[in-house]
Amino acid sequence: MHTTLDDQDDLKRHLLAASRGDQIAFNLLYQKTSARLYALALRLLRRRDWADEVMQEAYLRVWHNAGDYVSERGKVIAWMATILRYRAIDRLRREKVRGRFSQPIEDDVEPIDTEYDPLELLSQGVNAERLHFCLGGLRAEQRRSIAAAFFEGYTHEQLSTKMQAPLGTVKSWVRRGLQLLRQCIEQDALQGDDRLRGAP
Amino acid sequence: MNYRDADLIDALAAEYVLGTLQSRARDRFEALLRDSPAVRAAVWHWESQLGALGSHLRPVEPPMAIWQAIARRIAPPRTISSLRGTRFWQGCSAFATAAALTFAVLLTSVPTEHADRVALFANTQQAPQWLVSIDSRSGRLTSRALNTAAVQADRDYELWMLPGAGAPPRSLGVLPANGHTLERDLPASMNQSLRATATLAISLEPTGGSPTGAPTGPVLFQAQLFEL
Repeated sequence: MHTTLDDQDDLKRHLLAASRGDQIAFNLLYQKTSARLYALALRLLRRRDWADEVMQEAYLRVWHNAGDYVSERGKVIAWMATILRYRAIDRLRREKVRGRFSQPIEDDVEPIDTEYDPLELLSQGVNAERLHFCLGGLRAEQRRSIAAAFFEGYTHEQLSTKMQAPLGTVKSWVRRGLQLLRQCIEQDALQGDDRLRGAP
Repeated sequence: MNYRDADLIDALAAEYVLGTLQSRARDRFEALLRDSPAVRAAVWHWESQLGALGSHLRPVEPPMAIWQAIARRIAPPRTISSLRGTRFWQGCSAFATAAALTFAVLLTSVPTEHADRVALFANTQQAPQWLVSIDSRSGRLTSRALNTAAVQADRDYELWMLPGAGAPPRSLGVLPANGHTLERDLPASMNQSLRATATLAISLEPTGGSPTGAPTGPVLFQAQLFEL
């Protein structure tokens, strides 16, 4: 897990330098984060052209707001992923208003492998492991509705349609699911620290 | 709604970050977010947790074009062609073409970081002597001695701004020796005056600069400040 710790320290350093206008540091930050964020962009937008544009918007936001990052906001990569996700959701909602929808990646384009990658998960460190462990403890509807909201930007109304359940039911799946998630994460954090101290 | 309830705040923060908090509820929450550090902390906590949701995805190398587009937006390249159309180029009728070209080459090869204004001092043979660059936003003045004639042991070159309209010259400090670069962070009031100044001058002074605060020796060079 030392790789992750080094990563966070490096990213913090690059981000701090970038906040002072250091373009070389910003490029290093890009090199170390862009593959992970691009995977997320592709998953969220399901179209290369939209993903490419949102990547640009997100990184420009990171450049301009680099000074906003503080450790209390979590890991640098998570902060950047949040910026990207908000941009992606904005884009998805705008396009839906225009009547354009995300489609599966075109057949003539190399298929994107968005399979679950356990090694990748491990390299992301404790947060990711714990989150996925806790997600596994939710009921299927809770997990699916949270994932749909997160990855597809579904609103409660859209979830209700997609999952063919009353609005009130869907709202409680999301609310209860998040509640349980939080409880599990906190509990796991308390217990897990002992477990992980001995990890390689 | 009792916004002081920590559990409620937490639940709202989670839905805000997830994206399921909509319209009026979202607007109300965003107002809270602006004003309350506790709400901010809750949102940051959820952003940090949920930020890991995409972490199981296999990384995908983005096409180079994405970085190129980003790089262009954060740092327009200072090539000679990008200097065209700026007032610098139009003002170059005052220089012989060769000197103007030298100036342009110097500008693109000498790191001027965030400089938005420059002045080039040339001697009577049009040979470049000093390059002065200014970052108006931060008030940093950088002077670089390019190929200056050696000065007498008891003398220094001093840089002045000429604010115009009868106002007296104000010192911007002593210039560096040949081959050296000097950076100065100007105090705010000086930076302010400098923004309204178009002309700089250099005089020959006793070592350490003028003892009086005004030029005491001959004004040997003058140069216009150009916007980049």
